[in-house]
Amino acid sequence: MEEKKNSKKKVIIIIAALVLIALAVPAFFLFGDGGALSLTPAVTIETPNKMSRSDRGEFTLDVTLSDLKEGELYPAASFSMNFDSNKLEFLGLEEGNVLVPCEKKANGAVTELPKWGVNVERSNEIGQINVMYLDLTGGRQAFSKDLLPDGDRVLFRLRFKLRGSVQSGDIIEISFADAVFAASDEKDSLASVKNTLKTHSGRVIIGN
Amino acid sequence: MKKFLCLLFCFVMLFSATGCDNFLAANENILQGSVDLPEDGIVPESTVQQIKDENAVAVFCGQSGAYRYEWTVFGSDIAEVKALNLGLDIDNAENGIYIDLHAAESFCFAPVLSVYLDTQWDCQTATVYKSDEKTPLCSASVTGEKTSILNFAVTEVMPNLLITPDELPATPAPTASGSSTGSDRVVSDGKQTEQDKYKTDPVPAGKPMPVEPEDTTVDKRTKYTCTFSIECSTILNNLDMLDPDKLDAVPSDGIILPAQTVTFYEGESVYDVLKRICAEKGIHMEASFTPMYNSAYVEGIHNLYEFDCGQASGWMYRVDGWYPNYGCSRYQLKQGETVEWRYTCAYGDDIGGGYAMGSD
Repeated sequence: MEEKKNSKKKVIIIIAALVLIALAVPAFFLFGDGGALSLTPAVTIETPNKMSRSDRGEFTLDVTLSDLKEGELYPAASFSMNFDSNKLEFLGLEEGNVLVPCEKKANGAVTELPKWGVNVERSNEIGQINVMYLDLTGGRQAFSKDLLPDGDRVLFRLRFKLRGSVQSGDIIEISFADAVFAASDEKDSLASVKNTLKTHSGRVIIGN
Repeated sequence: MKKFLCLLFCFVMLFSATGCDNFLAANENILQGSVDLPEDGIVPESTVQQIKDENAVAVFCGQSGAYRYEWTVFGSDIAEVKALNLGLDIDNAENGIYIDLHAAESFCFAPVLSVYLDTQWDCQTATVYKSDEKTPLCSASVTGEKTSILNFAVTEVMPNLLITPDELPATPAPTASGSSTGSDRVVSDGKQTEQDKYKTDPVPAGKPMPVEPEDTTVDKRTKYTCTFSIECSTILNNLDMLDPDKLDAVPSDGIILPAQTVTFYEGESVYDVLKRICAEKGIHMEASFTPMYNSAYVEGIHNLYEFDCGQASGWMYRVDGWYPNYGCSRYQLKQGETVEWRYTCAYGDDIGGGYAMGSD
C-alpha cells in the first residue's frame, strides 16, 4: 500500500516538473532577449529584395520600429545611418505610418506624420544620413507607444538610387551609427549606445 | 485523481506543443525585420518554405562570443526547401577572424552573412579563404564607421573560413639606426626665450621643434603608422552654447573618428595626415593656410567650425598628450605617435590644453 502511494507521488512530481519545463520554454522564447515579446525596442532598416545593377529606378528601404516603452513620451528622436555614397545616391525621405499628436485640425485630425529633418545634399557628401525629429511644444507632439499602429510600424522610408559604380554581387550595407528616442528625463531615453534601443542594419544586395 | 492527472497531461501537451512551435509563433513577422536564430541555429523547413512561398527577405540574427552576425535569406534564391543550419562560431585569428559554419551540407543557394566586428578594419574589402588559409574563396565588403561590418555571400559551406582584411596598416620600415622613430628630430632645449618668426612662443624643453613645411620632403617609400582620432565630446557639456543648426553634426558620444592606426609617410605633418584621413573617411574638413603662422589653420571638421560653440571654441590637436603651441603643418609626425584632434569650447582649458593658447 505504502509502495503504491510512493509511486503515485513520484508520478505527480514528474508531471509537475514537466509542467514547469513546458511553461518555462515558451516563456523564454516569448520574453527572452530578442523574443517576440522582448522588452527592448528595436529600429530596423529593412533589407529590400535583391536588385540588379541595371536597376536605375528609385527604391526605398523602410526604417521600422518594434515598440516603445509603455507610458513614456519621446519628444525627440534622431538616427544616424551610414551608407556607401559611392554606390548609392540618397534622394530623401518618404512618409512612414508612425504618427505624433498635433493641434486639432479643421478636418478633426488630432495626429499627424512627424516632420523629420534631413539634409540630403550633406548626407551624400559624408555618406551618413542624419534624421531628426524635435517636438518644440514641450511634449505635446511626442512619440508614444499609444500611437504606434498595429502591424508594420514604419518611422520613415529612405529613398535611394543605385549609382553607376555598383557591380554584380555588391552588398551595400546601410547601418546605424546611432539611434535615440529621447525622453524628457535622460534615464528614460532609448539609445543604441546604452543598448536600450536595438538597431538592425539593412543591406542592398546586387544580384549576379 | 485520475481526472486531475488527465487534465495535467493535456496541459503539458498543450504547452509543449506551443514550445516546440515557438520559433514560428514568436516570429510571425519573419517576413519583415530581423529575428533571432533558435539556440541550435537551425531554421525549420516550414519557415524556409514560408520564405520561399512569400518571396520574402528574412534576416536571422545570432551571436558568437563578442561577435554578432546576421544571415539574409532571399526567398527568390531558395532552390530546395529544407531546414537550414545557420549556426556558426567566430574566433579571432592572427590577422582576421575564423568562421566555423555548423552546416554539414550545402545550402543550395548563397545566403548573405554579415559579421559585426568589435574593432575597425582599415580597409574596404577583405578576403575569405578556405580552411587551408591559402585558397581564396570570395571577397567580403567591409563597411562601418566605428566598428567594421563584413558582408559576403556564402557560396560554399565549409568549416573554418578565414577572413583577413585586404589592406593592413603598413609595417614600419626599419631605419638605419634600428630605431623605429624615423629620422632624427630636433627637440627643444628649453633655452629659447623669444618668439620665432612665425609668432611661436618658446617650445618647452624636450618637445619637438617645429619643422617648416617648405623645408620638408615627403618620402612615400617609407611608411609609418600613428594613432589618430577626432572628437568633440566637450560640446556635449556645452550644448547651451552650440549653434542649434549644428546639433546634428555632433555625434551622441562626441566621437567623430575613433582612435585607429593609420599609415603616413616619412616627412608628413599632422595636417597632411588629417587631410588624407578625412578625405578617405568622408569626413568634412576645411582649413586655410595662414602665412603669419606658416601653417594651415583648421577651421572646421565634421561641419563643426570655430565659434560654433561659443567665442572660445575651435579645433586643437594633441600629440602624445601635449598640445603643440604651433600650427599642425609644422608638426612633423614620427612613428607610433598618438594624434588627437579635439574640439575646445574654452580656448583649450576644457580639454587640458589651455597652455598652448597662452593661458596659465
